[in-house]
Amino acid sequence: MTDPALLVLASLADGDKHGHAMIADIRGFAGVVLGPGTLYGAITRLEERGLIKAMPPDERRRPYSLTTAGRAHLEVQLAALEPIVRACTRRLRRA
Amino acid sequence: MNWTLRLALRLYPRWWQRRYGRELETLVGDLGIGWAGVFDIARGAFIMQIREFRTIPLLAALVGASIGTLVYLRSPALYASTSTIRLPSGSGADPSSSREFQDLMGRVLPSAEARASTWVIRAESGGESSLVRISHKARDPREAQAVVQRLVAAAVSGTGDSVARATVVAAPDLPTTPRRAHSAASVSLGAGLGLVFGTVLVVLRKVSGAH
Repeated sequence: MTDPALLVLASLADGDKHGHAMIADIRGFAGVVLGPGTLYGAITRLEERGLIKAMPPDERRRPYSLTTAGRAHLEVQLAALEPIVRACTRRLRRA
Repeated sequence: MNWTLRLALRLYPRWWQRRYGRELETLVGDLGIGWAGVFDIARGAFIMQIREFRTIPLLAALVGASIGTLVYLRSPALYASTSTIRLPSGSGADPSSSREFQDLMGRVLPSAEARASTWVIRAESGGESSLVRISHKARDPREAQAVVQRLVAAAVSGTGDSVARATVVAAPDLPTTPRRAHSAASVSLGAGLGLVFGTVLVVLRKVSGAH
């Protein structure tokens, strides 16, 4: 699970965050360090698709929030990943 | 912020810089990035530029490929019969002139058949004679051969006023394998031309938009 867009959605699942907070959060839960260009590429795509929305800026930092559509999309993506993770875990235990 | 970073940020499309530029600058200031960060931003800018305009060249390439496919599908399989004759110099007209054969074809063949015929004139060393390779394409191999036979006969007998005393080097053959436009070449050529056209269109749009 290293798709930047999915990582951003996952990061926003527990509340609004600005860019710097997202990078720190993603590094913490996924061990992936997103570059600033990669992060804002993902933010652009997600905002265009209506999966996240920009909140009023806090000084020069603008937080982003998960929309209802974004939450639903994240749930679908995680549901799709779940059987893969389960199957892989089972196979690794058997091996 | 150093100049490489400023340059990388400027690589983004204008609308993007207006919307996200300040946020990204703030983030870069917070992170204190190095060369890897600058590269990441430049890569992001490049992707954003492609995203902005990729549909036009791709669409044009798709249209071009479709036209290429259509041309290929509509082009019939044709049989080509060829013959080679030799024309001596001083036969009453300049044998190396393709105009002479244009006239000959006009007299011997109906215009539709003449359009499907080609001829290549190659002067031999010393300029004593010219070799003429005559070819005609038709859906029926016998028809292709018959047309070339008529042309050769006219050239040999001097039916054409200016083309005379020709001798046959290679008699008109009966083709066995039809030739058709190459499918991959037609589609690739169409897609390539479309891509070039679309790219030129994008560049023109960008140039006109910059003023």
